[in-house]
Amino acid sequence: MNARVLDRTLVYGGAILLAFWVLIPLYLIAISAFTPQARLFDYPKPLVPTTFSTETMQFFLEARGVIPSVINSILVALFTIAFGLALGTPAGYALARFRFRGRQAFQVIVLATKMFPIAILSIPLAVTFLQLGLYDNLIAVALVHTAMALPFIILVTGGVFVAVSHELEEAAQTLGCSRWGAFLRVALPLALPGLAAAAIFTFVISWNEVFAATILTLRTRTLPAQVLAGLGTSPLGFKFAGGLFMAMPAVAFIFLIRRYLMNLWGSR
Amino acid sequence: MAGIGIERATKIFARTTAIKGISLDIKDGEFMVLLGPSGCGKTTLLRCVAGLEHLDDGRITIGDRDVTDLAPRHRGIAMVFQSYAVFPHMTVEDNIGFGLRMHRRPKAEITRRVAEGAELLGLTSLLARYPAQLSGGQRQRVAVARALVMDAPVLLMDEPLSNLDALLRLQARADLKRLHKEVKRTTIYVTHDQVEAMSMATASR
Repeated sequence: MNARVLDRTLVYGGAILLAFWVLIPLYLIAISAFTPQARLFDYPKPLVPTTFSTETMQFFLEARGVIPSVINSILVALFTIAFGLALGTPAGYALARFRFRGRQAFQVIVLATKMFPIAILSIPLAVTFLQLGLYDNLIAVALVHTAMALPFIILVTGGVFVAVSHELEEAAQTLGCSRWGAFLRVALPLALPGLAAAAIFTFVISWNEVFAATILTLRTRTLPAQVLAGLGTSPLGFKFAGGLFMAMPAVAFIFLIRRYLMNLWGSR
Repeated sequence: MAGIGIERATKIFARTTAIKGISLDIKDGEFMVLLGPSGCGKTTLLRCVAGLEHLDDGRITIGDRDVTDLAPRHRGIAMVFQSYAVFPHMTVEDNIGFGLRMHRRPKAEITRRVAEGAELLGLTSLLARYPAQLSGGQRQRVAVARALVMDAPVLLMDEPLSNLDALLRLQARADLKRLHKEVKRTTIYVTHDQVEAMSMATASR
C-alpha cells in the first residue's frame, strides 16, 4: 500500500515537473506578449500579468512581412498535407495490408530517413532546387516538409489501417465493390479520424519547420524563417509575440488530437 | 439456378499447400457443409469460391459460368463472414442495403428488399441502429440479412455461428435452416462443429 502511494507520488511528481518544464517558458512568453512594450523590461518580472495589452501582438502582426509569411506558412502546410497524405496513405495502407518482400526493410528505411541530419542536405537541396527552377518557391519548401513528415504519416496511417479489419473490405468486395471501391467506401471512412489526426500533426510539423524555408527561400518566406531572419535585430516584444503566435497552433492542435496520440502510444 | 463445380482446385501459400487438387460438385439448392478441424483448408476453399483468394491450379464454375478469374463482385455470390464484417460506420439499414446500392438498384426496390430482409431476420425494429449498439446475435443476423437480400444464386458462410454463445447458436442454427428452406439458395457452409454439420447439411450424401 505504502509502496503504491510512493509509486504514484513519484509518477505524478515527475509528470508535474515535466509539465512545468514545458509550460513555464510558454507561460512567460505568453504574458510577455501581452505586456505593453514599455513594461517589458520591468525587473523583477511579475509572475502574474499586471497590465494587459495587445499592443505588442499588434506590433508583431503589423510588422512588415509578417502577414504574408503567415499566409505562406499556411499554404506550405496545406501543400505538405496534400502531398504527404497522397504519398503516405497508400504506403501506410500497403504496410498494414500486404506481406510483401522487403516489407520490414522498407519500414526500417522509412524510419532511418529520420536519423539523417537535414543540415547535411542543405547545399545539395539548394542546388537541386535551383536547377529545377523551384528555388524561392513555396512548393519547394512543401516538398522538403513532405519528405520530413512522410515517415510519421506512413507510421500513423499504417497503424490506422491495421485497426480496420480487412474482412470489412472483403465483405464490401463480395457485395459488389471493386478492390478500390471497397477501400473508398469502407476502409477510408473508417480511417478518416486517424488520417485527420495525421494531417493536423503534419500541419504542425510544417508550421514549426524553419530549416528548409531558410535555405530554400529568399522573398517568399514562411513565418519561422521570417522571424528567424530578423531575430538578431528585432525588438524583444517582437520576439515574444512571434514566439507565442508560432506556438499557438501547435498547442491547440495537440489538444485536438490528444485522443489519437493516446491511441497511438497505447495508453488510455 | 446455380450449382457449383470445383475441379482440381489447388491453393498454395508461401510455404504450405492449403488445398490440393480438390474436386467437388454441389447441386443447385444444396446445403453443403465443409467440416474439418481448423487449419485444414475449408475456409481457404470457401474464399476461393468467393474470389477472395486466387486458385493456383484448377477451376471453379458457378451455374454454367467459369468464374475462376472473375472478381468477387462478378461471381454471383454473397458471403457471411466469421467476424460478420458488419460495417461499423453504417446503420443496420445501410448495411443490409449496401450490396443493392453497389449494384445500382432503384431506390424503391432497395427500400423494399431491405425491409423484407430485415423482416425475415427479425431486424425491423433495429434498422436505424449502428452495429456498436447491437448484440453479437443481432450483428450476426445483420450479416446474414445483408447477404440474403443480394439474391445471389450462391450463399457462402464461414463459421457464421462460432462467435455466438451456445443457446443463441441453437436458435440461429434453426433460423438458418428455416431460411434455407425458404430461399433455396445453393449454400456452402464452413464449420468445425460436427453437430452443426450433421443438423444442417442436405441429408442426401
